[in-house]
Amino acid sequence: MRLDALWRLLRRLAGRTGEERELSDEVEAFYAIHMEREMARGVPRDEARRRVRMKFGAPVKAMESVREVRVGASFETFLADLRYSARMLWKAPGFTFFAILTIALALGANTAIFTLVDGVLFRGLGYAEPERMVQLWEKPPDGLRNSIAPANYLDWARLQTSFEAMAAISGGSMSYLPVEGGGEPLSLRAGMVSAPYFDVFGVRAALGRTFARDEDQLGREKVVVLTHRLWTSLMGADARAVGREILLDGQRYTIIGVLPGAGEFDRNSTDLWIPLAFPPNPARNYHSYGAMARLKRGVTIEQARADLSAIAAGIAERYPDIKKGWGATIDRYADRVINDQSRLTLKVLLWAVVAVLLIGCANLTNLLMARATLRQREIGLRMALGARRERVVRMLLTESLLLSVAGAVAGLAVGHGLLLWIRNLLPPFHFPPEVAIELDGRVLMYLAAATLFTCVAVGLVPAVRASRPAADALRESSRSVTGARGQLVAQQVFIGAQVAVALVLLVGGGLLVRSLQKAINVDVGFDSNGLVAAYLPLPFDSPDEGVVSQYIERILEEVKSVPGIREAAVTTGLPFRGWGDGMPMRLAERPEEERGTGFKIISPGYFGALGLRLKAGRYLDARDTKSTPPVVVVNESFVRRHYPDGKAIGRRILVEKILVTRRGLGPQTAWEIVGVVADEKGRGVESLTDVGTYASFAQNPVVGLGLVARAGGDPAAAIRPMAQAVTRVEKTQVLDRPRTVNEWKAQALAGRRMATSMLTGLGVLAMLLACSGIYGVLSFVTARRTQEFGIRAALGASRPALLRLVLSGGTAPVMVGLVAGLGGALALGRFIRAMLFATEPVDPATLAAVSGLFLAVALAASLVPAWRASSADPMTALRHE
Amino acid sequence: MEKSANLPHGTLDLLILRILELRPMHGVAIADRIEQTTGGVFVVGPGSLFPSLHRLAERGWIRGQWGESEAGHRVKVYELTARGRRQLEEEKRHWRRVQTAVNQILAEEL
Repeated sequence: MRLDALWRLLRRLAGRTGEERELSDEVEAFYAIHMEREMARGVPRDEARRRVRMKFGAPVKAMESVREVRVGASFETFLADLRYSARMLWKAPGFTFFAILTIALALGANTAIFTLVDGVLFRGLGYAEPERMVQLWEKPPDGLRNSIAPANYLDWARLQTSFEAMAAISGGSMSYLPVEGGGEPLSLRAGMVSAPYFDVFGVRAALGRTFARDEDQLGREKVVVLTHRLWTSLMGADARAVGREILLDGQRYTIIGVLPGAGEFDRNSTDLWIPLAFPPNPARNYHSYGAMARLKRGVTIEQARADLSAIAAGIAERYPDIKKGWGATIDRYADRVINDQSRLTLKVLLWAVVAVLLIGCANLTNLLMARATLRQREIGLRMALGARRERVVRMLLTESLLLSVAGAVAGLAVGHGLLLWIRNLLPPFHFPPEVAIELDGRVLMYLAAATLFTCVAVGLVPAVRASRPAADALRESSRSVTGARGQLVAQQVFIGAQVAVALVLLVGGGLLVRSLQKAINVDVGFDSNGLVAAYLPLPFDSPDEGVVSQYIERILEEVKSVPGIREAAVTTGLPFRGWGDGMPMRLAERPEEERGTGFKIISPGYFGALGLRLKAGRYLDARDTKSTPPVVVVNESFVRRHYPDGKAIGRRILVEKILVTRRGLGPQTAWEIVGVVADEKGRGVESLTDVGTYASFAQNPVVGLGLVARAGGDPAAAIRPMAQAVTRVEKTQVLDRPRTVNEWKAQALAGRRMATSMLTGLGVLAMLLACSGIYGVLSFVTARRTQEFGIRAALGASRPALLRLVLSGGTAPVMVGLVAGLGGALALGRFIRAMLFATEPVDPATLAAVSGLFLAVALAASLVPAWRASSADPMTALRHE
Repeated sequence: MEKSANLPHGTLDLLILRILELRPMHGVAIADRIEQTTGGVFVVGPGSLFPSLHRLAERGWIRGQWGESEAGHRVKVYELTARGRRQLEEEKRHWRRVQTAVNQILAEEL
């Protein structure tokens, strides 16, 4: 009924003119017939027209009154209903507040999560023909994907026939001096990419140009493309900046272009882009580059994979000693943007907010049913006076519409706040740049749909029930105790379902809370308090080990001289930020078998700074120099993995040295293990396999370093003096992304913390909604049974007996709901297994704690109305009606 | 006009439904019919006839279609729908109840 009314309204708005013409034709015909009748009696035409008009008035007026009946009248009715509903709601402020609050929270959570989910999962990539964009990898003999060695990349680029554009990718930090010749240097994130990089994305400069195809050759590569963000912050968005030169790492680069703003490139952590020029004699066995490409039109990803694999097979054949078993592989770029974990998390959160909305709706349905019962006399009277049923339903639906829209408006504010909070919780650049998280038209459409759903879901059942034919309604509003039995059953079913769904959410939240606790308290092998860490990008390039070593020595001396700094060291992998290098490794006893290990190059102060516990042998120290035998320290995981007998000290492993420039690998070296330390959580807090080796910087100096320092007092306060210290050594030396190690740790846990807070918050909200539902229904039931309780009390029923009576009515649906919910929770646990850390999907402690909490809250919610009922004074109760 | 009486509120709808129960008719014919059968007591002008027709059509009780009048005019011919038929039964019953009630009250006052 309402649907086709809506349809007619739409058609009318769209085809207004057509309908107007029809109406005027119809009315004109009426006048024409009457005129003809007059004329048939011999009245002249003009006189006939005059007479007809005299009799019936002007046709325009008739048409006007039709229009009033149509849209106008229905709108008038709507306004009247709206006014009436508003008045009724105003008279019940408690109910109104609770209803709007419920809807606002449910819709607010929906808005926020949908914004996230839409930005991350639903919205496609914004690039032109993104299905043609691919990522390229080398495929190691025992793995799926590996970074690419530059010589191999160059062979691919030369021999491939599948790609329109192809680019190698690297990145780092560069120092920028805002004032030439002085001032504090700034650390900027630089993307180093082959010239066709922007063609892969199909992106053009907004100002100037991007790289010409030959600008990634040595000697031509001193050009830079700025992001819109950097251009605005650094150059004040001055269009004349293009063509100007800037100093990066002390070298002159010409600004050739500015990228478009407000898009993927402004959401990228990279500030500026420079060409990646491969050095002469690029390495074939040091894998350090990423690569992307755009497929030629008509070439499938399978064809391209075959093309690249054939080239890689040729390389493997030509260099069997280092490339045996290596291949190449390709992924669709769109598949790699979002990892499975984020996908799963967002899906779970989306289901959770939908569940909360349903619980909220069920809750309000219950409340509105109770309210409609209270209004049954009014409604019955209306219908007895001739109001049609549709009319009454419409009036009641107007009320739920008013509630839903008010809730949605408040929900928009709640959602906006939630999004701000989520953004605050996540570190900058947490999501890939392709993800746009904006509360925009799409989100508003979703919100509108959810609001409409809420309105109908909440209002329809109570409205239809309340508007049953008048006779019934009048009968039921008598004081019959059992009259509302059907309604009571419906309410109990709702309660049970709410409890079940809420319990599932709460258990999910509980499992995540346990995971987060485990992750926070996991033994990371060292003491992260008081530690500061930063990347240390060298502003110069030297193939001379001595130059690099001496420079680092001066840096460390200067940093250690900062008051409050107790220890400082350089490392190729910052704590929680990776192992630096993953290296192929062989045991001296079994040189034919290639294995792998994390390979961190450190200065000896690293162990002391971190407080990494020594388990056997000794740390690396000042005794280990360029001229002493190469030694390493390994961790316990390494020993477990590679030496089942547990004896590591004195054994040797074979690992190539890394060239100081990081442009390739040096000679294979036999390193003697001199010590074993506790497992340092290298790859974030949650890494499970941390097989690692520490080598001394003195024995393998290398660039690509970071700095760690232990500060006496507040580590955050040490950051600025440290930055000043390194600038004293070299005026273009910067500390890139200096943070306390606890900040790095928090950042590593931010995604988990967000998911945990959201799911737990939703679970608690669901539980409170379900319990307020229990409270509402029990209050309603006891209010209706006041008289009965009074009689029981008069007949000698004790207070505990009455309490039990009410509670038993309330607990049955709760218990059924809890049991059903536990079943759902077991299924959910399995579903979110990948989101858990060191927690089993069926965690008895969580299940017990959550069910217990739920029962306690549900009991509290039942106790209030039960208490009220049991204190019924027989006399008052009997006088009740 | 002077000899015509005002229709009680909502009665026109009932009359139209009742007339269309016999056969489909266009607006002028409906008005004529009301005037004839009530002996000229009720004269229905376009200002009340068309709103009523459109309201009934809106509710899905009658349906209008373009056709031709006996005199060859292009007119909209209305017919009763199944729902309209049910509604008419309902209204008839309702009317009788109201009538009885009102008569009782009137009788009491005598």
